[in-house]
Amino acid sequence: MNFIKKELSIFACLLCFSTAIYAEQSTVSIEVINTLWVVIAGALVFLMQAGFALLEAGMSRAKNAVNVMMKNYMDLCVGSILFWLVGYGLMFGNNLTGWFGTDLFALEKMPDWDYSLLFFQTMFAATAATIVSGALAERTNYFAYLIGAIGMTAVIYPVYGSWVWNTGGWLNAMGFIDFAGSTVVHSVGGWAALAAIVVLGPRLGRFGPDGKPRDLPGHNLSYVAIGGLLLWFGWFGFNGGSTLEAGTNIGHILMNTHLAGAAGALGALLMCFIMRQPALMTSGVNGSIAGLVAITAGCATMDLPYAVVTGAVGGVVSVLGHQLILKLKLDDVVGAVSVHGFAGAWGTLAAGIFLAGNMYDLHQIKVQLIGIAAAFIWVFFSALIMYWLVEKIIGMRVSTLHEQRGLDITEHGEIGYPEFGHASAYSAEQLSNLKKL
Amino acid sequence: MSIHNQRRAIFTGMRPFLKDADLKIALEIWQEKYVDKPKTAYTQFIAESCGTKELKGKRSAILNSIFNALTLPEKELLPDPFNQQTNQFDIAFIQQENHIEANLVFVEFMQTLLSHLGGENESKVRGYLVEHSEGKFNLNVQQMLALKMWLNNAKESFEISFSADDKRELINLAYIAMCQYIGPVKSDQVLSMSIKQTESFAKEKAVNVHAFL
Repeated sequence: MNFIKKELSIFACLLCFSTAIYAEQSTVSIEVINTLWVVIAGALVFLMQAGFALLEAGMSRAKNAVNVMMKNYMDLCVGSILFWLVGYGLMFGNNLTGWFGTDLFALEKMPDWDYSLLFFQTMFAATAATIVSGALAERTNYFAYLIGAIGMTAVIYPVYGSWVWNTGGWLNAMGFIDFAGSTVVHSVGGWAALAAIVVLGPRLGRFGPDGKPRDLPGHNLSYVAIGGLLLWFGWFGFNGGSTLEAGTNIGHILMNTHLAGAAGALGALLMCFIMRQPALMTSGVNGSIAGLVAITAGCATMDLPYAVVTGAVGGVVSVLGHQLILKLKLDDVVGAVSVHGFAGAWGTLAAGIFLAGNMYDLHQIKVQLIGIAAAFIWVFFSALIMYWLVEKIIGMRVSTLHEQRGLDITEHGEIGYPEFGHASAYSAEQLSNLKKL
Repeated sequence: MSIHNQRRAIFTGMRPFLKDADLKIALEIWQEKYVDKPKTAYTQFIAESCGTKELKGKRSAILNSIFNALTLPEKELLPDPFNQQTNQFDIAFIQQENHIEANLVFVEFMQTLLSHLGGENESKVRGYLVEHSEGKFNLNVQQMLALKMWLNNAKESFEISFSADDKRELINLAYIAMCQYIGPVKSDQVLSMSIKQTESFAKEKAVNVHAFL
């Protein structure tokens, strides 16, 4: 009997011990899985840089392709370092006033999980900065642009981000919904782009003497399509990773994201058809991106049919928005303002209108409108001041001779397609004969 | 202002726009009918002396040019065209001694470039260049006049010495005008075609036409 008692007590001890070990292991596993998901999602967001680079280069003329790529490449580099140094602290530091964070600047050591968050958020900051580059293509001083990227990632983006995504932010306290950043990332980029093109002015000959816009077709529509698809792929990380944990709702978020992208392209082309415009590839690609931008705010809080509506309207907004920009005689090379600014604002509003379980709640819609307006006022005017100062101190715009030669030569001293330059007045062999500007 | 200087001012103002024969006739009209008339009559003078289709579109520019010339200091006015000793209809005074190969290539390039535009666009671009060239180049009054005459098609040849920077500046000015009137895409094509067509001539003269860009 004693033997049996002894055996049972040993068994009970082992059971308790193994349960304890299992509990500890499962805790570790959840953090590991969450970390894995967030860093992989961050890496997917990083891939969006390649999408932006291809899309924007494809929509620009061949003589500016290198410059567009270099702007995308270097704003990522400059933006990442500035966000680590300043931006992250402003955005996620202790926010006592509701307006900006006050610590976590230039972090040296932190818990493992915080590295993952910093990595993921850095990719978001770089995305906001790079949205601006496409709008300014083909006529912007390279270093002036990079200074703008510093301002974006160090101050403009993180300050607004702290209002929404910092638990102490004033918009966060109001219940403003922007799950993955229709406004925080995309509209912020779009409004900054709007300010920049106001300061910069249009490219030479973009508008004729009668004021009508002229088409300046991009040099590689294949790049545009591949860029669009890469962005779409990266968006699964952008929206899916914003859960910041490997939850079971990721499938729902990704399905919303995907359907909205598809509906965006359809909405844009339908709008082109209604307006008796040809079904341009650029309109289709921009429409899908506008759909993705629009669903970003409500991708976790919307049912599938409403994601489709949100995406489709986003596509329509991208077409109409671009027409408005042209009417205002502004030159946005890639349609960044309409795709990211206008569609982002619409998507943020839609997140309030179609909030699952609380649809058409006027209070929520009002909060969404306040958040949208606050983003426009803060970002547009601060960016306007920043770019105006850059224009006065360094000069935002290159000279007309730079525009004639193309920025690949004048800003970087190289040609994007040295072997295929037969249609250009400038060839790689003659670069050394050109006077340095 | 004396009649002598008024005539010089009218000559200076009209010189960039009119060919020698037309200019001579215009000055004779002024001498005969308008010499004692007030400035308000200059509009009528221009209407009478610039009756060709080409000049009709430039009447206001010519009138402005005359009014500008009337305000110039005496030393900046061209010599009196009716002075037999100076014989100012001989345009030798605007020619420079350092007539170098690069200028020939440059002129050939510009002519090719402008001829690609054809008709209305060519005259618009030429007009833009005349309007915007003032103060852009390192040229004296007479050289600037020669440039304007050439751009206005009032003179076929263009013999002044133009520095490399000025050449580049003029081509860029033409590019800006082309972007405005025919659009940037066609402008790049015209620039490229003109370079290619001038290359063989430039090689003959041992000049690198790409350096003008």
